[in-house]
Amino acid sequence: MLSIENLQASVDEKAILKGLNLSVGAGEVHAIMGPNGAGKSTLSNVMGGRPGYEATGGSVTLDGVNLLELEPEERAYAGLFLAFQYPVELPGVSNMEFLKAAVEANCENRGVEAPNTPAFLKAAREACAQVNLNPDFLKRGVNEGFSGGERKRNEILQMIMLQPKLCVLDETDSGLDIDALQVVADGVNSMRSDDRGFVVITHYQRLLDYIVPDFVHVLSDGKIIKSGGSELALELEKNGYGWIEQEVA
Amino acid sequence: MQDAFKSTALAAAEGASDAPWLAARRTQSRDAFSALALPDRKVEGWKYNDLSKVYGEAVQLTSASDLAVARELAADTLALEAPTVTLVDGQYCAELSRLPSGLNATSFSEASAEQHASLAQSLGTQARADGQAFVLLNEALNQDGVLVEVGSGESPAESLHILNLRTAAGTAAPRVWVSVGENAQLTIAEHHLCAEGVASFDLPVSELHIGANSTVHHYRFALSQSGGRHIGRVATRQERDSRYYAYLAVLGGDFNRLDFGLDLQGQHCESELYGLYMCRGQEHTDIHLAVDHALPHCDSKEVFRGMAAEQGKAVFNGRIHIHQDAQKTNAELSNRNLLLSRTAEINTKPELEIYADDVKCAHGATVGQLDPEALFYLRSRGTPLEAAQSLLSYGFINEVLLAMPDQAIAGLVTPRVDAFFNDLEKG
Repeated sequence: MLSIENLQASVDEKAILKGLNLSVGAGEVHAIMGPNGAGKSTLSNVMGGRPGYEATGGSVTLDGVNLLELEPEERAYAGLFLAFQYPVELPGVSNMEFLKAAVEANCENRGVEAPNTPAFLKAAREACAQVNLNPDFLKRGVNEGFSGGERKRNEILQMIMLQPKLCVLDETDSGLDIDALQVVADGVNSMRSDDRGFVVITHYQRLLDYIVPDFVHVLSDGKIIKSGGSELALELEKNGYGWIEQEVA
Repeated sequence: MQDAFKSTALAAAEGASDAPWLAARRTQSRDAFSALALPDRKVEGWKYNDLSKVYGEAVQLTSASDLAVARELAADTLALEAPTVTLVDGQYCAELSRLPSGLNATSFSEASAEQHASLAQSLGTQARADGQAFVLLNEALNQDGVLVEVGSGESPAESLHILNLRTAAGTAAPRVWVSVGENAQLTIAEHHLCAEGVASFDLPVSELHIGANSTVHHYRFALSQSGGRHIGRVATRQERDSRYYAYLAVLGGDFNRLDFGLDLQGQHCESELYGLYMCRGQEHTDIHLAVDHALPHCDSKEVFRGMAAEQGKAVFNGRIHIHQDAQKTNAELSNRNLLLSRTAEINTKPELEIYADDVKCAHGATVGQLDPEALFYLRSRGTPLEAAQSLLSYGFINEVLLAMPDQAIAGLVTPRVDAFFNDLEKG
């Protein structure tokens, strides 16, 4: 489903990703772990097309479509969803308007019929319940005055509404207490299905107790240096990253 | 240019009105105006204003109004079926007015001799405090106005609308006097509407006096479809324990200037002023706010949002004056501005003068562009760039629109806001 080949990227003319390869099949959950500065967030930003994060080489294809050639909104139509590490506030833009605009644009561009207003409202309320947010949040400005946990739950809410093919979670667990982490993990787990892939980027092994990955990759200095099953995460938690870096060197 | 403007203004004043009850005041104001130097860029408060747009044309009172145009302009407001007093090009229009039953509101021309006597005493006591040239000119040129009196203990259920419609070129100088007694309540909406392409010059002045422990919601919209010059003045005075909420909107018009003064003359007053202004094309809007905290324990809050596109130019000046006796004042001013093009210009200046030592005073003024992070966030969810820009721009002013407790009244502004964005998209 997702195929990243020899991806290279620079930020402010400094090389961050140095030939990253990753392949994610439908139905799989891949965790990407790594020390600070390894390039974890750069990977998600390059995939999402954030301004300032330009790929300088390689490719990122989702079901055969090269994402790197697309505008951010077109990547969404192709099926990509990026859960932000730091979701921004959109003061004065209500969650409802925001979701409606997004759902409608995605439906239109994916060639599916957009839900009518009652159906949309019903889906939005159900999604709220699923991530344990009061439906009143729909009327409030997007992330306006939300706590860190509420913002992350709002990301999952959007993910549920947009039904992407591939979900990339960028350190969604950082800054969350256990309760919020549980809600976020439940949301993600409920979305797991045979035709959907996940890339879970995290600094802490803790999240992976709740979202059990099929594969764990270690990202260091812009490359994936080791891959394994979920047991690798536990090993990293116990022994840190140093031993792998030495092993690879 | 100023001399020609002044001499035509003085000539126009000769034939403005023959109401005897105002004759003395009119002569006095005309003489004061005649003696006064007109403001120009050298005067600090006017330095961003290109007054050639004002002085370049002769002052001439409008004589030929167009009732059909007036009816069209008034339609949306009259559809609210609320009490309405309508002036067309500065003169009372009975046909488009719906006089209230439970509320004492009348045009000056229809007012009683007793009301005339009290108006002659009160008019100008608030607005004229600083002897502004354009307030004096309003008094010299005034032909009619609206008097609203809410007695102590009264709280009319319906909101009162004042329509000031411009249908023909020329000058109009309408006047509003609102007097609210003690323990009373009023919602009043002033609409200054100018029809498309009318080269009008408007000099409206409104004074509101709010008695002890009363509540007033005051909407004031200046909406022009295109063309038109507007130099307005609002002067509100609050007595102790009163609450005043004002909601301002200025859209369209070649030249807009609003001097809004709030005078807190009692303890424990609460005031909130919300405003939005949007300019495009060659439009110019200047809002000058002056809040005077004279006594202790008053709270004031101002939230203003401005937007300029194309070659539009906006100015915001927010002055908060906390006098020596005004201890325990809580004052908050927020002015944020959005530039939608490289050629647009916005100047903002908060001005705090604080002479008391135990006060809380916060201010923030910004001029910026749409947040690229916010745009990326929206686009990453699938919202295309243009729609994302429009959502964020609307969100930016929504804070002011949503602060209006009567959304039916707010609904009179939103079509103009929509038109502003639609016209921009068309280019």
